[in-house]
Amino acid sequence: MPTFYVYLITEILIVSLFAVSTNVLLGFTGLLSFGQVAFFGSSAYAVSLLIKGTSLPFAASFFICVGMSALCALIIGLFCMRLRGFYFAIITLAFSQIFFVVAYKWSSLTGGDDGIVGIPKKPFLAMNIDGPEAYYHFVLLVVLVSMALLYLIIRSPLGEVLQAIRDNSERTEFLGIQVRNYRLASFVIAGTFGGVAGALFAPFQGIVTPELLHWSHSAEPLMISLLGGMYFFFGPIAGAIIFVFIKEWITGFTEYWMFWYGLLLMLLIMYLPGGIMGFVSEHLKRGKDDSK
Amino acid sequence: MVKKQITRREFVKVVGGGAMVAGAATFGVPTLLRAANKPIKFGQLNTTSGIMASQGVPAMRAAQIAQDFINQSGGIMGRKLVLVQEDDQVKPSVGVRKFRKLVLEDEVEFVFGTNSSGVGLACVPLANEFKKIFISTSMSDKYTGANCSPYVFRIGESTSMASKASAYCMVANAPDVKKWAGINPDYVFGHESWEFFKQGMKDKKHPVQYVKESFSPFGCQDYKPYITALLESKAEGVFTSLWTGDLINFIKQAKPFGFFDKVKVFVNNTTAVATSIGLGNEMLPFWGEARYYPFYRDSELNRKYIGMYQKKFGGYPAADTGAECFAAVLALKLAIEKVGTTDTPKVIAALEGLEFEVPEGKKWIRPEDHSGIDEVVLLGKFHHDPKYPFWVYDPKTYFTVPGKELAMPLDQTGCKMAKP
Amino acid sequence: MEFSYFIYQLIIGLSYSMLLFLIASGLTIIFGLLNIPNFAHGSLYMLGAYFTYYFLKSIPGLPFGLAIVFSVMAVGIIGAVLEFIPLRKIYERTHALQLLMTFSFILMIDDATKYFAGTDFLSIAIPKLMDGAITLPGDREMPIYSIFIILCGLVVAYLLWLGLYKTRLGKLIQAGTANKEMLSALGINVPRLFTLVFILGAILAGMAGGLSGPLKAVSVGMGETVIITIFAIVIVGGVGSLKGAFIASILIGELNTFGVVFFPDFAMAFTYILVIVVLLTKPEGLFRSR
Repeated sequence: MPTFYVYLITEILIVSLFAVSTNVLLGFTGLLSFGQVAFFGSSAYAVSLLIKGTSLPFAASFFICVGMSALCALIIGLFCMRLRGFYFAIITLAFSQIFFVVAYKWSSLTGGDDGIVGIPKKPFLAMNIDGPEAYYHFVLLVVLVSMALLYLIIRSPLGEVLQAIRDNSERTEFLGIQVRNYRLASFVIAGTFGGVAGALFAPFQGIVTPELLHWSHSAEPLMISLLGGMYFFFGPIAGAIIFVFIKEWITGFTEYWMFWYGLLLMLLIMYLPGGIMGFVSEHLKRGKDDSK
Repeated sequence: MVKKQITRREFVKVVGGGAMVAGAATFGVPTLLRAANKPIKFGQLNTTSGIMASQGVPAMRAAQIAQDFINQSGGIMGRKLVLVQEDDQVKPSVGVRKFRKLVLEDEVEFVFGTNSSGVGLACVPLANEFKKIFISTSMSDKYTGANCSPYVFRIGESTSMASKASAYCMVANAPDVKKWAGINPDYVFGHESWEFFKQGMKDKKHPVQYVKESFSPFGCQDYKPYITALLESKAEGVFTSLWTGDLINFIKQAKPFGFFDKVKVFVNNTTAVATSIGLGNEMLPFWGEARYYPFYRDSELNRKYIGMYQKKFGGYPAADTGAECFAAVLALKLAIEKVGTTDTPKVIAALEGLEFEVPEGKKWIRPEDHSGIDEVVLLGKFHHDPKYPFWVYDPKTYFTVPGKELAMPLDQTGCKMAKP
Repeated sequence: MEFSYFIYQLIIGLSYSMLLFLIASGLTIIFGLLNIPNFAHGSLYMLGAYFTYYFLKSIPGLPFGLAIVFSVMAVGIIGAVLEFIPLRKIYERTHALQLLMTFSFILMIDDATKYFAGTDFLSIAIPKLMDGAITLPGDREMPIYSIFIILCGLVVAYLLWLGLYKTRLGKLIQAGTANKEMLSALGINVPRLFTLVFILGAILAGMAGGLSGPLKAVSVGMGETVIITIFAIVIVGGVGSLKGAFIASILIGELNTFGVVFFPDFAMAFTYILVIVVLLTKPEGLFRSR
């Protein structure tokens, strides 16, 4: 495979994991969070600081950062859980913007807007991850394991409850289920795996900058989930593949790529509101019905 | 970008031709001939979308002028120059992805550009990884300092040069102004600009007092609190490294306060000409520094640069980054021709110590740290002259500082250059 | 710190607050009734500034006020198109999808503007009559144009209040904001009402853009620089509440001004901290109209 595609696919893998983790909230719990970059970005920053500033092995740094993301998600989640709908979106956005401001202003630690540059790819346990191919294999492994865990969670009784909350939170509450605790659990799960994606992203790019923590970056996994189909586990993965490829292609051929990109988005929302997976599954269903 | 599609089509043609030649090669045509027909590809990263498009679009255009200029006079060693331009969206992560695309997909031989040091510095590790030359057109001193690398060059003025030149100019032109204040953007460039301005004052042993230092966020919408605080500090001179829209916002909001009457001197170390064009008749007589000023030097190259730009795009090539992009393309052409190959280590050696003419004057690339050094850095005070469509420097106020005087002494750069 | 300096900054902050209110008022009305978080509100604001620039440039001698009227009409038409074709399709969808849709508007409007107007910064001069400043006690200047902005904010607030509380249309909007089903039950042509309200919101955004033209570089992307602050105002004030938007605008405008003057290192975070504090203590904003 040409090296450029190795990079592109590595990126798609990381973006997919970030989107799938965000979609645990959006598609499976019915919570619109605009602050998932807080976990992605802070984990990316933390892993960079640990790699560059300490002699800890990468594996240790990696798990510390994932644990930290989980903790952050728990703390922020405790605050946000009282809110619903768009208010929830805005408070998560506000929290993540505070992370952004810290990364931006605390330049003695974070390098300000220049960020932290030159993050090496140290071996992960006994695994050499230096070089595009090696890092791709490492990312593939971590993303597959994470996706498998997320899939198990969504298919577990916990996942069932989350989906029941999404469909009708009052009724679920009435059944004696602590909706708030379940939502918090979902928030922590999303934050943790967002953190995994962030910890993978930093050595991949070799640089972290405050841009990773900016609210506009939070829109990306949401967009990917919606495009791919948020009611499907694999929706965000389909979305990520298409999102990354379309953007790569469209930005290459015209200076006015934003216009065409925007138009495409608008048409997709107007005519494929269920996303790509929604469209595909509907057609498959229709196909089956016809054959009957 | 219409131009780009044309070059792509041309590229297909060239590739088609290349295939024919390759076919011929199997019948004994020497390899050299094949290479002779292949275009040389340069990759460029600048911002053409969003709020920074005002900087990036003219930079792309200036590079296209350089491309036409070179191709019209026979290309590089008879080979055609093809530009591959990508939008970095002012995001380091996009810049990194596009850098990889340029090198791996488009197979460009050299990369130049960026109008933000954030993006440019993110590209440095990639230049090292791919062993490709990257010529930065943004201003950070870090390219030639702690982050220096054999593959990385900074073609134009650095933050320290621009800010120190502003200080020297003020020492010479406003020696009685002793109370200084700063309003700078709240990111690395702004903080460094302010520190280097103070350093410049110190260099000249000019006794000044700093009564206020303020930093405003990027894209600040309301400068009134900064303006009133500056006025309250009773500063006589104000230094700013605000640029693009931020500088225009500041000036427009400060003017009604009588700011420019109360403050004796106001000096800006960047994008002064673009600001003047943006402000039109609302421009004010303050001191400006620009990396490229169109009307100072009356050379054939400068006339040609302006003429070709006006013919193709209309207006003046006022963007600083544009002139640096032009210079970067030119430097690469000269270096390649000097050694007769595009082989990276040889081109690096040719770039080191290269002296060449650019529209704004002469440039020299210091071999030890790969810093571009202009013959002179020019400042001036804006005034209205009906001959020009926008406010220009009053020629009576031209103030020049030799670039070599501004360049950071080699023992202070912090650069430890490795072998390529 | 002198007391007079404090008062002075309070007035300075008020002029920023009123500009914010002019933008936020349109958004809160749209959000309240249509239940659409319109991310492209900032782009309509930007269009207002561009149109004002072009009307002033292409019709010599056109008074500033008239240029704003023309510009507002143009933005209103664009608003109508946006509501009529794409937005109408997604009223029943989730907020996430609606946000994404309005985000796609930003991309298209920004790039179309870049295509037609270029990337150079444009500048609208302060109208001759309002150039300069008056001197306040303590020998401090107050720009006349900033006073004019304060007046505009107050007048618009008053007119909107009149419109919302004293007219039939206003009462319908209020009723609809509180309870959508009621409108159809009353036999109202809901789609038409929605279109009207979206146009009203677009007009307010366009007017704010035109009015802020003399204070800013007119440029592509100027909408995105305000949109988060504007959403913060709408949320802090309570979605759909005009009074809330008015008070939240003052809060955030003054917070920004005093933050810059007294705590410059933390000013960037103040808006977000306020949002968090308000949402945690009053989860539906200060003045939810329900």
